[in-house]
Amino acid sequence: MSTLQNFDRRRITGPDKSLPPVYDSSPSAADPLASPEPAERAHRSPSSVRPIFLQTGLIPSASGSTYLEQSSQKLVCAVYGPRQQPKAAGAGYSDRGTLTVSLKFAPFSSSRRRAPNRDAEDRQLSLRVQAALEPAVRAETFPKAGVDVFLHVLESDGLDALVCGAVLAASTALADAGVELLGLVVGCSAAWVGGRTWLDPSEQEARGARGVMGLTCLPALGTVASVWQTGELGLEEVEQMADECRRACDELHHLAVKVLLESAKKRLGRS
Amino acid sequence: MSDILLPGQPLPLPPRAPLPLPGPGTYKRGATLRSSLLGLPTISSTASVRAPASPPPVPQQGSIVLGKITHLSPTAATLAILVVDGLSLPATDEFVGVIRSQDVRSTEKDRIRIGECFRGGDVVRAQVLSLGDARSYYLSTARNELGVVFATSEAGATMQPVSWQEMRCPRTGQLEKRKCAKPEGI
Repeated sequence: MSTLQNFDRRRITGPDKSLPPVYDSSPSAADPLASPEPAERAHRSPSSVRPIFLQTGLIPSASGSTYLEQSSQKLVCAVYGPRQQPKAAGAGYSDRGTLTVSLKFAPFSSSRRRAPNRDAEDRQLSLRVQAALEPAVRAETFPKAGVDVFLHVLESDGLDALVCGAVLAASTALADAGVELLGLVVGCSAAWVGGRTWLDPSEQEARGARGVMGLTCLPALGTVASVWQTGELGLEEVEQMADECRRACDELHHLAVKVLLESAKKRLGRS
Repeated sequence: MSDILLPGQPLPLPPRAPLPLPGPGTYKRGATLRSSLLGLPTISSTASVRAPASPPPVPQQGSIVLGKITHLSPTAATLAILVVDGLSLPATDEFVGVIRSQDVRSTEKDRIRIGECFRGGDVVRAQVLSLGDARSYYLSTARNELGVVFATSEAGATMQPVSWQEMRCPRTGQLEKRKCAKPEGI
């Protein structure tokens, strides 16, 4: 009788025998960047960008759309408009159009689950993409209307690389949509690891770097659209990284051009 | 090499010829004319680039639009613009236009009663007067060929215009007041 009274009915009692969970391996042993300055980059050369797959016109309801895949970085971009913008409080009449960029992560896109709407990072990244695209969009060609760019991240590996991928996907989608642009915007990120520039760093590589920077530019005009930098970097280091980024941007521009020309040829052949 | 131009690409112009004026789809930067669209160029006195698939049209000053009346007030009729210069907008994207009572017709502007010119659901052909305020475009029907082009009577039949101010229901013969557009080809 006394044993029954001591028994707590609300608690699920565990089995008599239990063992601690077994992990794959300890994280520090698996991480090659646990040492402060790794000498060699795994899998690719320091000046290489992860191979890119880019395709236009996947979403028929959108004015323009692209899908970008760069090994473990996948995102979809859709461009809608020009269309009337919902009236925002305090927004008066403007004879220039507006560009809105909204980047959203799928809940499963990162190693940690991202809760929809509660994620604070996507707003800041949207602004970075918008800052890169705004100098290129000819907003005077659609007065009072707005173009909406929606980016949906399916998988991400490195936030700086993600912004650059998003800029490439968005500018290709804008050109696909027939929105007037001064030129295509492409971006490339770089990390300073062990006294060398590593282009297009993954999340793990960026974590081990002393500093990370990103650069977006319009290779057709030879102008820079936006630059950002985090970490501790000297002026000469930034200069060297920016030069390497611009060289990579030229290559990315060739890729976007190839994709757009192919889609345009297909469309002109059909009509 | 294909003739398709990309955004930012200089237009292929004959050497030593006078520079054409930048038309739609082009812009001038420094001394070079560049394309701002992905498409094929046409070059004469003005240069332009046309995209294979054009984006949804945006109403400009002077464009002719078709819209459906959504709201009436004593001072103005509000409509949802559905077609701009013969190009239809995507189903979900529509612009808001306003026909103020003084813009309905050019004569006897002080006698206009909006309820005798338009009814909800009418399809109206109008011209864009100005880009208006932050919310809506200002439209005008003050021309013979502008006004109601399609309206249904109270009995539910499509009405026929009998004068520039009246429409008749073919089922009941009842006359209703509208600011009719002059039918084309008469």
